[in-house]
Amino acid sequence: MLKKILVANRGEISVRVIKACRDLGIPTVAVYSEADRAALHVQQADEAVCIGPASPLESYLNIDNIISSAKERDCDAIHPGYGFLAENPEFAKRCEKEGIVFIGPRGETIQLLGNKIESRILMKKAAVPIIPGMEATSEDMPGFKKAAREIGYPVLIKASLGGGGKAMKVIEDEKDLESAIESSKREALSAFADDTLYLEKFLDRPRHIEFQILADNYGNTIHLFERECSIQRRHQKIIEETPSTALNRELRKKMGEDAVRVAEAAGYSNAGTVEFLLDQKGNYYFLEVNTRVQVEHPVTELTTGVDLVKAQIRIASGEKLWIGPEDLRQQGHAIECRIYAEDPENGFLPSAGKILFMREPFGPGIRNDSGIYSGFTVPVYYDPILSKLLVWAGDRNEAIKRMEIALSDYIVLGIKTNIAFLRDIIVHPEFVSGETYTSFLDDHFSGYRTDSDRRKFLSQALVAASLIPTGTVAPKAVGKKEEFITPWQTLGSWRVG
Amino acid sequence: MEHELRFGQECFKVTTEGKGGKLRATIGDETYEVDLENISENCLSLLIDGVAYTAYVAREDNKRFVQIGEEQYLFEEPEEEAFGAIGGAAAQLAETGIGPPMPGKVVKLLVKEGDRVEVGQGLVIVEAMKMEHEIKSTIEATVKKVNFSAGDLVNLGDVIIELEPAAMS
Repeated sequence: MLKKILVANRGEISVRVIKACRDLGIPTVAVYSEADRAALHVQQADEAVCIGPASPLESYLNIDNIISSAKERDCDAIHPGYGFLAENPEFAKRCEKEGIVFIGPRGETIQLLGNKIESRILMKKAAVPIIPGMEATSEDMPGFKKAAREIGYPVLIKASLGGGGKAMKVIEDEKDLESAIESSKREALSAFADDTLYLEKFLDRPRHIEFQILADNYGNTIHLFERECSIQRRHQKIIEETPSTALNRELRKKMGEDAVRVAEAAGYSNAGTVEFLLDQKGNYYFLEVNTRVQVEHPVTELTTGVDLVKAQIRIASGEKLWIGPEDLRQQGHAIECRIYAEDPENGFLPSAGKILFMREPFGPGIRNDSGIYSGFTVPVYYDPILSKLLVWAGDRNEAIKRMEIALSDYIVLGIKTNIAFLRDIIVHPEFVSGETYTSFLDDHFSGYRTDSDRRKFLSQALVAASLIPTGTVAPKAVGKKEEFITPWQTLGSWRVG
Repeated sequence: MEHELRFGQECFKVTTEGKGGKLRATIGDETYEVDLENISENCLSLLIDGVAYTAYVAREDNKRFVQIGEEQYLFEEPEEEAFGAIGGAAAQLAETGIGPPMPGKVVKLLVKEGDRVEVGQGLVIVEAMKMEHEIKSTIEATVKKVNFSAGDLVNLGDVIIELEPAAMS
């Protein structure tokens, strides 16, 4: 087993990894930037090292400082968490070179799977479906027609140099193809000074389905079923669940086997996630492999009973896989909501600042993976994820109800969070009926309500506001600089007229 | 006790009277019988006309945060209370200090000692988080003292400019 682990991350995932190490009896070293001295992960670790200024480039992405800290504190392994250096092949390779165990796949595997073209070739070899599309453009209309027939309608016309949806068209039927190609060519020419077009399969309202895999260093690979992560805002997942309402036993088996084949073809080791898009007809297409612990890994833990972070550490320390497919089954239903410091009622602006008071929900089937506490000041420099709220229940409806109540009981005062927004999604009839697609938020939440729509308990809240004990405000101290009222303190609330 | 609380664009007057946790609260035409139990600094148990509510509360500067059930409310006490009410507690503020919103650098001073400033007039430009912020006066005042020069680094709590409110004289 590993002797001492440096956790090269911050926030909730750093705390999560430290807890897994504690379970295994392995001491931990936290790293922190100058802005994170008071962060929760520093308090939770056995040792902590400052690795640089607030700017991530100079601290959490500073490979030299992290490696030298690991050596200085006699760590034999580094856990990268997610984000930052987790999928940086150079970091993994550097660890290998320095004789430090990188808790994740080999550097060359990270490199291979990070390359879109190479991984597409790999998937073809492994006979895993990829989104069908033209490999090269066509010079004439019969060429486009032939390609469209091969791909299968509906097809999507895209400009080679395209972006921002320009020249993009969805074609349902061959009779519309010719005029659409001509019009797209004109649009592409004026937008990008190039009229090269190609065709790709159009996926109508796909779901994001991913499979968790575990592979040891000896070629044994298993999958731990799916997670559905279709609820996304600008390609950022915000609610994840398992099992998916879209998979039946047969499809689950097929996709799971493909996920394992992907991992085997890449020579994968440690924990990873194979992502697919699933269309309305049950066709699925490989998207990419995430070569790290996933933010949403706990929903898999709650339904399978496997601690994935502990599994990562045990595999990295050289253990042979101790579970097989016959040991695994999905029990009940789990949902995760990502709690972000952002303001859904003001264009999702990040909201840094001091958490004046917080209270986490608790009770049967509730789990909080958190990186915050009452009094913590959320720094402006990093990803706005604060914590992850998870529920487990016997079935999906029970889990939704439990999540609704847990979100209501999650109190964070002082900064803006997306908690109320998440609750509004969870209770939405289309979410409840499992009609979840990657376009869900655009379809149902494009114009989100504003603060003043919230009136249910307005009178009671006004009464409460008038009765707030004065003890919550620091006593006025004459001559103390903080006591000056600056326009900055009043700016946010100053309204004229 | 009378409280003026802003909620978005609206302004509410809340009057509370009574003692020992048995109170009567009035908002506009509505009157509520309130039984208050202070659970902690941040938690109030309220029985309002016999219905139980748990309110989680916090305050910072002129902001009051309240959560009841799944709904969170942000109220603001109007500034006039702090600056305008002559003879009240605000009159005790002999001077007003202008400081940076976060650690940064003084880019430019827009006033000098002795200047008269109007509400909304720019006082100083501070650079923080790679962005320039102009700090404006919220009151009519005279510039009493300037403590920093352009190029100086300033921290939270530093007073760059001291103002003397015009209403005081």
